[in-house]
Amino acid sequence: MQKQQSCPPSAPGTDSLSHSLTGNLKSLLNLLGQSGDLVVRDFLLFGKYQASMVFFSSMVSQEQIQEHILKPLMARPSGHPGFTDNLADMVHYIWNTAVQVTQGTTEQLISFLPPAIVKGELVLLIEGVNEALLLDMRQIDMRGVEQPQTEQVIRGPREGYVEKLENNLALLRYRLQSTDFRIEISPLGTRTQSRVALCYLDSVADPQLVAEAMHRISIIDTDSIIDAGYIEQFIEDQPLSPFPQVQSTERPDKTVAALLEGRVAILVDGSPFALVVPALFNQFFQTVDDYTERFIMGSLIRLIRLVALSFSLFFPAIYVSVISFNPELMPTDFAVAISGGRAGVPFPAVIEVLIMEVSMEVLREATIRLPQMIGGALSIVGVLVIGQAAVAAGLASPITVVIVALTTIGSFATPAYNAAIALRMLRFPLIILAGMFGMYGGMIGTILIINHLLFLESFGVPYMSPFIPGKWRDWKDTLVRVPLWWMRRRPSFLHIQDSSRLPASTPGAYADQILQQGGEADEHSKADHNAASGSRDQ
Amino acid sequence: MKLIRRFLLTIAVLIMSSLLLAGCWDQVEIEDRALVLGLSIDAASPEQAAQEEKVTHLNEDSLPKEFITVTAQIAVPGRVPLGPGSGSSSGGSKTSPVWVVTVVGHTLDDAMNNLQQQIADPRYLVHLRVIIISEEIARGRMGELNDYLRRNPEIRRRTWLLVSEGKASVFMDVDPPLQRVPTLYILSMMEKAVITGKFPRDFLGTFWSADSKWGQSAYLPYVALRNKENILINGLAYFSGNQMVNTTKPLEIGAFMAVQGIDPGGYSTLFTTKNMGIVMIKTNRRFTKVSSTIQNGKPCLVYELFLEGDLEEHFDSKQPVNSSAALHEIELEFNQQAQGVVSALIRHTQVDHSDIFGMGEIIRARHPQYWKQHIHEKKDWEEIYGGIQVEAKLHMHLRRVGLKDR
Amino acid sequence: MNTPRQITTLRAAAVISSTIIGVGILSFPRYMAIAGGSSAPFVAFCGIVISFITFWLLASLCRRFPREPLFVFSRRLLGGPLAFVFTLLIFLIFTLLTGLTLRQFGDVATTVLYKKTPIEATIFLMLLICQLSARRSIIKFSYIHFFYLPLIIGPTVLITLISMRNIDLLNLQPVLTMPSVSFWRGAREASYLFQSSFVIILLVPYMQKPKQAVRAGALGIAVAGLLYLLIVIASVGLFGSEETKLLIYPTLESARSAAVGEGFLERLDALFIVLWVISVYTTVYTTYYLAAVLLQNLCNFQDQRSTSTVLLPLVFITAMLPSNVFETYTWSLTLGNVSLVVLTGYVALLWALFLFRRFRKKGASG
Repeated sequence: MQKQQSCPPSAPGTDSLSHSLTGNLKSLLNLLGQSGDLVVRDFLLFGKYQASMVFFSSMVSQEQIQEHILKPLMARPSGHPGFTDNLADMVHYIWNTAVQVTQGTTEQLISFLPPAIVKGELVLLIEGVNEALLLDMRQIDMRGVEQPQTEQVIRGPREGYVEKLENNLALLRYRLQSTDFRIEISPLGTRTQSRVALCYLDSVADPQLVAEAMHRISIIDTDSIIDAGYIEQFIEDQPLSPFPQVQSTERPDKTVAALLEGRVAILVDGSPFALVVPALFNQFFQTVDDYTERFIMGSLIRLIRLVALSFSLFFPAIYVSVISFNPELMPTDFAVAISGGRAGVPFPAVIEVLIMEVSMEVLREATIRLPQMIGGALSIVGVLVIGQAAVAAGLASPITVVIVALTTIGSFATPAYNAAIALRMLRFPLIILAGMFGMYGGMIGTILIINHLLFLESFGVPYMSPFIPGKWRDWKDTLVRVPLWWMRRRPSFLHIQDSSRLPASTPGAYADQILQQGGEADEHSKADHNAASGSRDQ
Repeated sequence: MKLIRRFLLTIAVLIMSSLLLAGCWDQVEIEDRALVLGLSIDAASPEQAAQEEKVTHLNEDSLPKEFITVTAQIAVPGRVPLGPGSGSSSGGSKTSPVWVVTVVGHTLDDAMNNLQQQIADPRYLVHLRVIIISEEIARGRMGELNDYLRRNPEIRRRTWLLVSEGKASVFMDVDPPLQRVPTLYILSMMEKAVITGKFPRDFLGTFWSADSKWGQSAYLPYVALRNKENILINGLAYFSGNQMVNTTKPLEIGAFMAVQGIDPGGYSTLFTTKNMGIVMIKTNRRFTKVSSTIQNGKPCLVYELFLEGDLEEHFDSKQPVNSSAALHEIELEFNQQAQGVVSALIRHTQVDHSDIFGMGEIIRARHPQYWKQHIHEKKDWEEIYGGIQVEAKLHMHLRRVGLKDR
Repeated sequence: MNTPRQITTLRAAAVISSTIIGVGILSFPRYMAIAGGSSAPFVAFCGIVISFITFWLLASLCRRFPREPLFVFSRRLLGGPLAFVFTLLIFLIFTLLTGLTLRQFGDVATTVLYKKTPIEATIFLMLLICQLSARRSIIKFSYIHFFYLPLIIGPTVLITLISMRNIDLLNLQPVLTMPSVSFWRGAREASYLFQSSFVIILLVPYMQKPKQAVRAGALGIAVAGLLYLLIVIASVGLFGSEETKLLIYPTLESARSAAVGEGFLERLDALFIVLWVISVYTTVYTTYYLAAVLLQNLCNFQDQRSTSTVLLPLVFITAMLPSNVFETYTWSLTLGNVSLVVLTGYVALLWALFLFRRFRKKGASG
């Protein structure tokens, strides 16, 4: 663990501690105010001196205090060899020999004490000493490390972040055992004092990017940071955009992969999500499985995800424009049949699709908020019963139900939840435009969306990199994912300092191996390579 | 803050203006469209002409005296079940999925306007797949027909235009059991004829292109109705200038396709040989080489037709077909007899001044000097075509004889 | 992180290509067929060569002033007032060009797709997205073109390749023809489509390697020219030259009659509409952007944001001026003629002055 800095609070107090214990206690309690879990424990230090401990019982480990502080301090001085009966040196003596605590400081100003106590430190005041000893006894019970809920993987680590920052940083360090890995922690929020950690790889990440991230975090001036999401909204480039410009992830392995690409991660105490910047469009349809699985399958599945993504955005708009504007785009027999299916529906296709899409959104939202048991049941009831009933009642045509179902399923296939929402919401304006101008309206809407994406930037990196602008070699990990041994360089659009991932000879060596085996052995050799390189992290 | 306020204002203005200004001008739901699937055009009899409505004009005096009757097949929403049919779901009572409407007018557009006056839903020709015209129309009034069809953006070049023997409107009434929608049956029949090599790919667009070219004359499928339900491809109706002049026999379609070298070959030829009895040969592949020369100031073309085929039937003969020699004998006989058919077809078209083979195009492409000198409009070539020398040489090659030895 | 010189040669080429491929693709084969009959592709080829020569004149001049846009160094060469007049002329040309292109686009949309939608709505919508995107910097401008170019080329090539299966080579013979008056007129008309390659003047100051401006233009014109050539070959090959002359939008017809297999994938119209809207957008975007920047230069504004807004009603009115389809075509042909004279004349004048100055400088020093 890193040595924690004792950070001065914003209002520097001028009044220093006096030699009187009661006086000190009184002014300290005055500053802290009334609180049910505030404990003041008076005892005789080494059986001789009046002393008091002040702490919040909810923030500290009482057993630890008993074992490592009270026990040694209440022992007779005979138990302490080399005990100096000198009040001036007492604090140093206690720190150096008596207490068995890893972190602590001494403090002379009384106004520094309350913030420390609030953070879970224990203040030891001694009669006749104008110094207080601050010992970090913070212990907060946390849930254990569990499988991440929002980012499930088939193959890959099962660990997800928890709320406590130390645990999360431990999860990162454990995967990235490098001296390059830097963490910078600073408190944020005048009231919550949430600790925010900025993580990056010193020899890889672009210093300008790190400085920019640090700058954006440092200018946040708010009283509360409750979750990483709060920070995201303060640091993103374009708040009015529907697209997320900061990636949030629950997975330490994903964060580490991002760090290794030269990105910067931001963690907040109390939030099980890490923010990764810069976030690009490309990242929102990639998952861990793409890398842990063999590259051919990974690429194919990624392509399928892209298809699903475009389904969720364009399908209803295309349907509306074909049905009500350009029926000539359908084969004749299908057109005749479809007009039969729609014959009893009283609404135009736009309204019909809008009604169905909105009710689908309602259903989705309801399912998320419900407990899992009921949620599953509700979604089945919703889909089966409502869909069937809507068709039977003549509210919607069967084709519309198919289209709406495909759209919804397509949006579920997008791995990043916030990006999926963006695309899902954007399909509504597209539907409306298509309902007004048909195919042309849909195209105009699409052009607007694409233009917006092209204009967007995330921390100075164009959002559509590496497609636009970009180098060809960065395309290796975009629409498809080439073998790991071929991705010799880190993506250049992040302006990384050290670009090489593998020795220059590796891709050639693997390629040679494939060619030499040739023929039927071809597939096997590829599989072998992948298995070999699969163990390497990203 | 100012920026955000401006943004919100812009959004509000956009929403307001889209609500106020925008309309769904072209929005017509598919079930509210009268989708015309097929059209038939006939010359109207005087009684029918009397029923003509005054929709596009009041004064008849200056307009052409001839009338046409147009019969349209309009798809009725709801009659065709969605998805693969569950057998006879509609039960025994056969409700036709199309509505057949007949109107009279001076021109096609006039008739279409009359039609619109009679039905509620706006008519759309976007799914018009088959147009059938009677021989009488084909022989006289193609010009005005083409003009309307070419101008209308709803008409596709992949529509089939057929010439019927006798009245065209009866084709709109056929209800064959193979397809749910009658017009689609005619359509699929023509499409399958193309796939199986029974007919060249001759869409409306192909017809128009040929019609425009100076060195080629257009042709159309010539169909006839048998037993009230069955549609027969009865030959080619070929045109000279802008008018149909004559038709061919069905087998001559095969000869025509052979001259053009259109694959796949789909026609079988039944003929009697001298000493092999009666044989039937099916052509599978065709390939044609053309050479052209100008001799004595006249174009001269030599067609070499390479055919590949199978023996399909062989009877009435003691002599078995079990050697290359025997096959070769049949090939030679075939060449001789088929050449007669091909030459006869060419002769016919020459007499009618209808260059359906596009020989003029070959001359234009290969002898531009000659072309520039002699041809100044389409008529010139059709005149010259009657007198040019054309030679056809056939080379049939039989590959297989089926499962029966000897 | 952000250097001003960000536009690579490839991206500059993409800008030029996607600008050139525009509303002209629909009727281009007809002009070529009228001019050259079966040798229409040859006419088109000559047009491409002509336009490349004019482009070369311009780009090689810009190359010599890699840091300044044309307006700035022209002021130095010509002197303020004369440069102002020329800039004004070019501004008018591009405003008119934008308006007429939009009008042609609207005409097609109204004839073929949306009969009842008022042409004003169709045009205004397109104009609006151009205006919105014209507020961005030139770097973003190049992003847009680079992104859309594959979306234009892909479907076009696909559709042409599909119709290639049905073309009759006889329709394209004889390939060569004796250049006649109508031949050269056709070639000149073909070169009009390439006039918006003038956009290079905006790109040069931002290019990573301004020396490669000519190369970028050559690549861009080659790609666009190849595409136009393909379209002409497909249309004339499919329909024959006589039929092509009759069709008002031959490319549209060839797209509509293209089919994969027998009715298996028949409706390629949708693909074509997509392609066509995008290609018109990129073209109009460029001319609109050019006009906005020219106006900004005329008025000495900081950037083109405010001028792009001012331009909106102006272009809209221009688009509404022609009273019928034929007028639109005659106007755009006249505009093509005028801009050929003005642009080439302007560049030639600048060249002459530039050479004269250099000569004099040499004379003075030597």
